[in-house]
Amino acid sequence: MIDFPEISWASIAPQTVILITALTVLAIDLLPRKIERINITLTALLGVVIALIFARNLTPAYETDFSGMIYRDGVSIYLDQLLLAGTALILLMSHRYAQFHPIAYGEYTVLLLFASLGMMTISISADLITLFIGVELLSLSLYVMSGMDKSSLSSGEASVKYFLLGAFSTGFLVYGMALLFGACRTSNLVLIGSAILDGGAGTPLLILGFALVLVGLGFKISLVPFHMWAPDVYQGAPTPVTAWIAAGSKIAGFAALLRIFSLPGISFEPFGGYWAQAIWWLSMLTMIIGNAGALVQNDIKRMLAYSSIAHGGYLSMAFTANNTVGLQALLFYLAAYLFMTLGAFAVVIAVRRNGRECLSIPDLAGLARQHPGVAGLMAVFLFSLAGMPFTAGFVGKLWLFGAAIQEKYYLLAAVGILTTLLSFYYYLRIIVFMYMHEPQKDAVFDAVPASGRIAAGLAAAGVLALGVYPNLLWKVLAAHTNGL
Amino acid sequence: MLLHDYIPILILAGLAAAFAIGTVLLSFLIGPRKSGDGKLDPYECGMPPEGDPRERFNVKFFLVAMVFVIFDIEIVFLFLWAVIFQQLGVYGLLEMAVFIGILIMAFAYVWKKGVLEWASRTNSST
Repeated sequence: MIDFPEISWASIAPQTVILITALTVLAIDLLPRKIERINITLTALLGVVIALIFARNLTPAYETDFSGMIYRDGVSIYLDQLLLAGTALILLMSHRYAQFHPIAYGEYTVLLLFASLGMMTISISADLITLFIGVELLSLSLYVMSGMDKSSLSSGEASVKYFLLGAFSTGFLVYGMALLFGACRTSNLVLIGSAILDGGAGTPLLILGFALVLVGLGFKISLVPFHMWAPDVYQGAPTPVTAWIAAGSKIAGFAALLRIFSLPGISFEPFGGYWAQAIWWLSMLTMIIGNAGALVQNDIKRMLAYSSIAHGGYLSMAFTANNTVGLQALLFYLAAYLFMTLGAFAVVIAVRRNGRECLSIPDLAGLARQHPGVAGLMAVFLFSLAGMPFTAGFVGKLWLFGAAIQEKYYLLAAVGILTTLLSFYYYLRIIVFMYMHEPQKDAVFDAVPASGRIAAGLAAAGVLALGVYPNLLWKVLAAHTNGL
Repeated sequence: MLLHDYIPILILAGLAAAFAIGTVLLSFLIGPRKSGDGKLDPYECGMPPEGDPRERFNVKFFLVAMVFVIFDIEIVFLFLWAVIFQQLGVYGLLEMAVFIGILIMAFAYVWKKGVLEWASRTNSST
């Protein structure tokens, strides 16, 4: 008999449940008779909830599992819960969206679950191979999902553009990983970490490897100058898919950065000296160009695309600061970002006018008069994205900037604050249209469905709860990150 | 490093190279030479080429190629598994059952969506 390595199946329980759910939905979709959309949504939601329960009951373990392939620490448990909550919200939004758009809903749901599975694989990976499989599972699912609206040419365009640039960036990523493997003679992140600490941290192979990985992941989380694909893809893809690219794939991308640039089990800062400077520049450029780009957008999805680029800039500040506060702020801000971005997209999906999507900002004129509740929720999300006090966005930004200031990156923090002020213009512009403009002629907003209200309401509850009472999450984060 | 372990590989590489170069060299030395239009075609033997190769192909070629690659990889994996099947025991059997179960799900999907029906003109996917 071969000696099998110790395997604790419980540590991948959430991932397993999502896989089984995806296969079940696939099987349901293959049944000969027509299946109502609601049944597919409910099956998927049930799976996500079960996975969430499993994820909540996990205890962090500070050692690798599955022969060093996965690492089930507090951070991964936390990120899994975030991603599962996000998946549930996206399912609610998609249910409504598929009512009006010719999307093969069964396949769409399966791909959505696979994308989430990929993200959750990244969050637990302790090996370059696991990480790469997660990145690919996520990306391939999202490429297809972006092109699923067969009635829209721009959806196809988004899919092709996303695929081409995604494949290109994967090339960078995998080449970088190969060089890291060559430099350290192992693909295990913990062993790579100890190989670097043992010396040889400055070898050209290692620096080139990390640089290429940074470029590859930079594409995935659309850091400037690797952000070119984002606006077109966000605009063209079906709106719930856009929401999941904006929220889910960004969280997964930062999880990947976290896994590689702060190696598990060592500390948050093994490469501080090298990477702080490179990420300083990326973060700076991303904040400036993201916010400047958002100023001139007239399409909500494009505006939110630039806004998501800008938020990537704020988030990457944590990697420059490279301290424990930075890590906690990053994790907190990911939660805040998830809720406010998904909330804003939930409203964009829920609000339709004369049977069409309202995609340009003037389309929303007078929304507050007909649907005060939904307009109010949208205002909450926009205020949070801009960073008004008493919202999650404010607390997150405060901590991120605080982490940068603690490490004496004053210029970076100053640019962060200034670009935040700039961002108030384009976020408030939507609020002005919703509240202070007369509705356009013969504009009648359709009734907002329950699924949209629930999704937006839950997201708003998250945004406000984290904004008013951040200790709710802060204590959890402190407990989850104290092993680092 | 035990370099002499690699000597058989070196001999094989040498033989392969000698064979490749030798046959080309021999046909160059002793073969007859007749030039003509047919010699300048991309493929000297067989049908004369017709039409432009840069045309749109049916997407089914791509789908079949993709399915082929997936099952090809399954076979590669199965070979390795079969070699040490005795040592792996029941655990290995269950592991492989999970792997193949997932693949069978994909196969059922592909089948149901009509990828394997080559002749049908219309796309039978629902």
